[in-house]
Amino acid sequence: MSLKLAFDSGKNHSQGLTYANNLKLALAQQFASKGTKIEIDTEARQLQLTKGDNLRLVSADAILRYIMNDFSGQDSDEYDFSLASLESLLYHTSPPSNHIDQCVEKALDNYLTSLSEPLTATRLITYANASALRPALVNAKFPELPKSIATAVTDALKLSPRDTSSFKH
Amino acid sequence: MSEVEAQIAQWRAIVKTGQLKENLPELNLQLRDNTFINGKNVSSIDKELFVVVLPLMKELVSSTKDVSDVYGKYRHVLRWVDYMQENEKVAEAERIVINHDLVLPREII
Repeated sequence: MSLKLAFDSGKNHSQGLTYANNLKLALAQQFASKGTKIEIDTEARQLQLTKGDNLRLVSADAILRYIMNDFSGQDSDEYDFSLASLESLLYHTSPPSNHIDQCVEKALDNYLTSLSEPLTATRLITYANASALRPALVNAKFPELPKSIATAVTDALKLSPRDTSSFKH
Repeated sequence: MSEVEAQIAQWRAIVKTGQLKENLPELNLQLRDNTFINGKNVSSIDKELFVVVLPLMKELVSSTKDVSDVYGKYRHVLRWVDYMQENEKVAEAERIVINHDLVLPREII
């Protein structure tokens, strides 16, 4: 049975969260475990992965792990930091800017030390969360991305509608 | 690929990002279709989740003026909480008192 994947249309939450979610789903497509067939669901009204009536996932983190078939590292300091410190900031309406800088810098110093393959789901989730919060800081550290990540970034940018505040007049 | 591990990963991620309250409708759906998070038996993820869901549901029930609305929306979560607080032998003072006599509107699926 094939998997149906619906991207985040960005309703009711921030542009940063939408981008992080869609980057994780785009990364899932790039790093899918062998033999995985994914169909894009354009009718679903929210981010989700379904497999018939057997499975429905609404967390981009869990979807990435499932498609990669990588459930390792969920008890690691990196994953705790990535979810509780980075991702939770994406849900805040106006988090303090200096706090975001500190968290992303800490992620870059302690966890995002390399993007060399083979990459784990935990590392990709940290990358997606940090990139969504402070793309400039992350891009400065990784000016050259592995091809699969670069492709996912391009796809995620196309899929994540920008809000009006991001347009420069 | 493991559906069970995926469900565990999902609910752990939701708890760690502090988004459980926002995902209560999803949890209710999960528990509508399954007795427990991963099927017919209590697993470690039920216990992990219960610790966070119990105070959340207590607050929701105690702070609403329309108890039947909360019961109607989250009937499957409340059924699960009711079982879990018994199973986990939660102290009386910490429990949520479930009104089993409340008449609920018919569930629309």
